[in-house]
Amino acid sequence: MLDLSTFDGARKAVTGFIKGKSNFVIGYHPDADGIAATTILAKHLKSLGVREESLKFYPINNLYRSFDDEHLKEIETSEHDAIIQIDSAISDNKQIEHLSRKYGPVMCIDHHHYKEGLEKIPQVYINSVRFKGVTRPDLFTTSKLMNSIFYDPANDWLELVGLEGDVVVQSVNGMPIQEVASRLNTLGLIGRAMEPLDEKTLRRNKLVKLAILSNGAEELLSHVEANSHMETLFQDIISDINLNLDVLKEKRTPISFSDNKIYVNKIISEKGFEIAEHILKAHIKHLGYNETFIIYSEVNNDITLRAYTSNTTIDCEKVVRKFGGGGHQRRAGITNYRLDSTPVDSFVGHLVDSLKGEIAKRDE
Amino acid sequence: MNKVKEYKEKLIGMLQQSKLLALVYHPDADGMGASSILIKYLLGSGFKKDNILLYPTNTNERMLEPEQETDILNKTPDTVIYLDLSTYKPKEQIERLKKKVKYVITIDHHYFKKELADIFDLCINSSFFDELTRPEAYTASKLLNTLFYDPSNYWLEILGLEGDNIVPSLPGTVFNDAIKILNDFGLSDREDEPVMIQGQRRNELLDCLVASNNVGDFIAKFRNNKNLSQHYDSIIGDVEENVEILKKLNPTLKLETNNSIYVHKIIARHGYAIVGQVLKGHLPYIGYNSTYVLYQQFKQKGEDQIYLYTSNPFVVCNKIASKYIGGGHPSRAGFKVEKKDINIVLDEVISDIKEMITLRS
Repeated sequence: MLDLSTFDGARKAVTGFIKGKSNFVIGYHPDADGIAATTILAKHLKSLGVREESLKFYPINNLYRSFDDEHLKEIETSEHDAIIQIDSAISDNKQIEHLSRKYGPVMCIDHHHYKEGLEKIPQVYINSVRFKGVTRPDLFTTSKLMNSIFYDPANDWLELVGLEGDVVVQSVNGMPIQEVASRLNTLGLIGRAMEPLDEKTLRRNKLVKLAILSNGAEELLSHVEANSHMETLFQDIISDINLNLDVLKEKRTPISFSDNKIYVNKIISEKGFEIAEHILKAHIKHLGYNETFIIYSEVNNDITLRAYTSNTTIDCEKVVRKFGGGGHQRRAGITNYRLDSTPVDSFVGHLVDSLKGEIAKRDE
Repeated sequence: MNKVKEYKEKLIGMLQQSKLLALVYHPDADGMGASSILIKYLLGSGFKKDNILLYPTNTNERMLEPEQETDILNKTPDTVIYLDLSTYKPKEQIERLKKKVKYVITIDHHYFKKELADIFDLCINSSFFDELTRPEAYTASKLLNTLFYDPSNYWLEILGLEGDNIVPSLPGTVFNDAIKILNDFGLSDREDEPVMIQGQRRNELLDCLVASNNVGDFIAKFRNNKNLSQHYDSIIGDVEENVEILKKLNPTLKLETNNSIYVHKIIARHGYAIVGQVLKGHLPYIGYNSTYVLYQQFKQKGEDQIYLYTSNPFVVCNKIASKYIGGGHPSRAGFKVEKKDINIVLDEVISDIKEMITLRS
């Protein structure tokens, strides 16, 4: 039995899992770290003689962190002898349990915190969190982990892309690693609310394939820039993000409550991009004392909302949980929650009241 | 990005006016990674290797030792560059250098008071880039590879990031092995060795890094150098011996407040100053409300070292260290003991720790 809390054990387990297999289903988180890690794995498999056609890539659903139903059906009807999930932050163990029971060999490689019990389901569960010698496993990104397992100096740039993408290190604007990480995160994670899954999948898999083709950050950047569809989309998204950031910077009058300020902003995106999370995660970094941001968008009666606070007595996750949302104490959100007959303003107003309730509890 | 261009132009302008250059560097993984990027750039620009003088600083004051300063003043380079030195203490030293050389430059990522930048002819610090939310995490090697960008230097960026613990290492991986070599070797002094001899050994290590194309190549080159390898094996042997003892150590004092204080005298069979390394690079986990007091005695130097490390937020290590003109962080700090009985100082330190714990209760 290999000890997967040691690096040596993990490396042996991964190489043992891959050995002798030829058809791979690879599920990956379509952000910079997930794509970079997937690229390192794919390059390694190719170096072992696995044909690229035998690698079937499936971006996992960013919200549910599992395969979309359509992809699951496709996987179940296709030929494969190994399923691998990369950087997936699996939150629901059921799907992986189902796949594992039906197909046996499943391997997960990740660096996110995981639900207890998950490590017992796949055949091989490798997570930075499990290594005894790592003091901040969340920072030991999946691409870093992957380049530790299959170390190749030619992949150092991918390791940096993963680190940069997960904002472990934030680069000076305009540097190649930063530009690549930004494009992968933007094009991989953002789409239109009504965009068909096939279209999203095609774009994300294209990013993986371009990364496999590339020998460095500049080369990948030039490949992505040369793809007019992707570049137009990227520029459109960035322009929408900047438009919203300008609005946020204007610092509209906040809702003042106790010694707190609550800013509420509706996302403006004529083309319907789902940018709320990206704005909040990558662009709103400095919150003042006891400030809370609520940013949201509404498409076809579905609301997508994100909350971010610097007030430690507010639990954003608790506030959004009753609407099927999730996240962390300081940062949480709701995605595509059906409003039915509730007007969007009332819904947001109700949420603000919940926040006020949290603040009031502290004051008691 | 415009700022990068602006700084780069100024720096290159100064370098172009220099025929002889002195590079004063912090001898840890980040400092040596950054130095390596700069040297590679200089060599690629036609600079002769012999015209780059290298001076690793000591690890505490992070400034030139008197012998090194004299050597620089005698050789009168056109430019002196301070790299990854996290200190702006040596104001007088910089002023003395400025009288003899054209330019004194600093390139760094550590926090400092901006007004101190004026001492230098050029000061480049990660904190000058407004878009960085954590400039201290934008290490010197990362900053250097931003200024003199070359994709083949990415591995040196990773070394700097890992070495400064911004991304922790995974035991047994190649980067971790390289960092252990650079940090443990680079930061451990030997009390019986003259400054210039220690400097030569560190410069030899830096040469090894400059000559390498990737991290695996560096480890192989280092291992092929018997002199360097032997020194390193002695250091790491001593470090690991102490770490093993610390892992099994019973508390020296158990307080009623659920606090434990561990006092340990460093065993250094080969005479290297390793107390900082034991604490910084090898003792990442300490239990709840534990405080470590590690000390090392040096007979020849006539000075001893005490390092503190705590998981109790009410014990402010740097506050204690500052009483003895030392410094560091709230959870980790150190200082030197000169001309004073170390046992008396240890009693004072423990009494301070106890007082901080008691005040909270």
